Amino acid sequence: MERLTKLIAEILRISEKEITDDLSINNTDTWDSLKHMELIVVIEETFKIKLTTEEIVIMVNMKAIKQILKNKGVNIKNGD
Amino acid sequence: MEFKIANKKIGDQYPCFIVAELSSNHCQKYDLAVKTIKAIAKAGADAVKLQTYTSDSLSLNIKNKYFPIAKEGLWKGMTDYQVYQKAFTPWDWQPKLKKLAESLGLICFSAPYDNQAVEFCAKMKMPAYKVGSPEIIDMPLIEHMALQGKPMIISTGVANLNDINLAVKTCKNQGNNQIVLLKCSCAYPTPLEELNLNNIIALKKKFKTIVGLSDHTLSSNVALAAVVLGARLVEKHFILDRKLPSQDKDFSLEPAEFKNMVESIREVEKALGRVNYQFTANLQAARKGSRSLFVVKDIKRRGRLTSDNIRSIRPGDGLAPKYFKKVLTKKAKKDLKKGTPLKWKDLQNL
Repeated sequence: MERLTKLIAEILRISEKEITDDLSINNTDTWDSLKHMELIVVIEETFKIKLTTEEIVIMVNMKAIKQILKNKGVNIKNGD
Repeated sequence: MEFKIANKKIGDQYPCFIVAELSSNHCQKYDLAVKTIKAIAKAGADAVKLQTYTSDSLSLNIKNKYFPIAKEGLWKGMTDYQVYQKAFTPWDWQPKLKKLAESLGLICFSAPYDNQAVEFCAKMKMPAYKVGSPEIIDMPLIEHMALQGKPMIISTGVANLNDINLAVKTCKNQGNNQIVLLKCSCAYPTPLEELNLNNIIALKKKFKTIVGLSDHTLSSNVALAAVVLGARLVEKHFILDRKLPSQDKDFSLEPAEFKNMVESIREVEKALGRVNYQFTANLQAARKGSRSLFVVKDIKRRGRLTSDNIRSIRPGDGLAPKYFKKVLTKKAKKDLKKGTPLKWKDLQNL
């Protein structure tokens, strides 16, 4: 299983099966602003990247997270 | 900037120098003057201020359009000359009053209103000279006072910026840099909205002298505010009883009020303290009760630290809360029980 999915499941305390491109801050109870901050910190640390404020604001659904990581040159399939 | 008035230092690092103005509140009775000075000492003032003039120092004994009779107010029916005749402090009292004040631990100085008065004050060895607001534009008089080499306390009540500038320059040209500029309003009593105490800050910034307040309101809060704004000399009229028939009664404080003002100023000075980021012993102890990061849910060995199992709470035994984001990228080296203060040694990278 890809590393990003595992990480998000762990932080948001949901099962990996629930993690689809549609997963967003609006349809996930455990994804609040504190969890969002935690998610960002852990993503930055795990993939050794720096996210800008603009990116952090956009990364509120799975699709956007993947897209931004891709733009940053992160190979999501393999983890890092 | 600091210097001494008699034996007392005045300046930013020193307590506010508090002056009780006797003015005409002796009602021209020597006994009353003595009693008032005794009360001034008891009220905690640093100094008593006299006025040295005669009617002839200030005006002429004639009646014409330039020297009219007052039509209303405290001095109705009198010319200025007549008012000054009623208000002045007889000169033969002054050395005696100075001696009395000094025996009570007070510093005594005066505001001389003409050259003859300056000479008289010099003979009495006055330790400072006060320039009243209306005198600030009398440069020859200021020059004469400055030449005595004693601190110059200058009221700026009716002065514009140029006047103040010229007065300060005049003192400095005589080699006298011991200047206190007083914010002052010449409305008696002064309406608060006309006071503009913020000028104290501006005066200090512009002229780099010691600054203060000559207060003609009936509020003691005004003096307090002035001290907060940096006033290091406060002058306030003092009267034994406002029922006395003095021209200055309406803006003079009675003994209990004056004492209260002095105590308030001292209290505020204590509280103002100085700029200090060092912790006192009390604060150091309090800091231990401040917040830090704690384990709030059991974490298994190799378990991730999350916003669910780590929180910033009191007391301060764990890592500082500023590391919250940082520890979210760590996992536990060993089982961490709920209630354990978080330490770096228990953490490792993910």
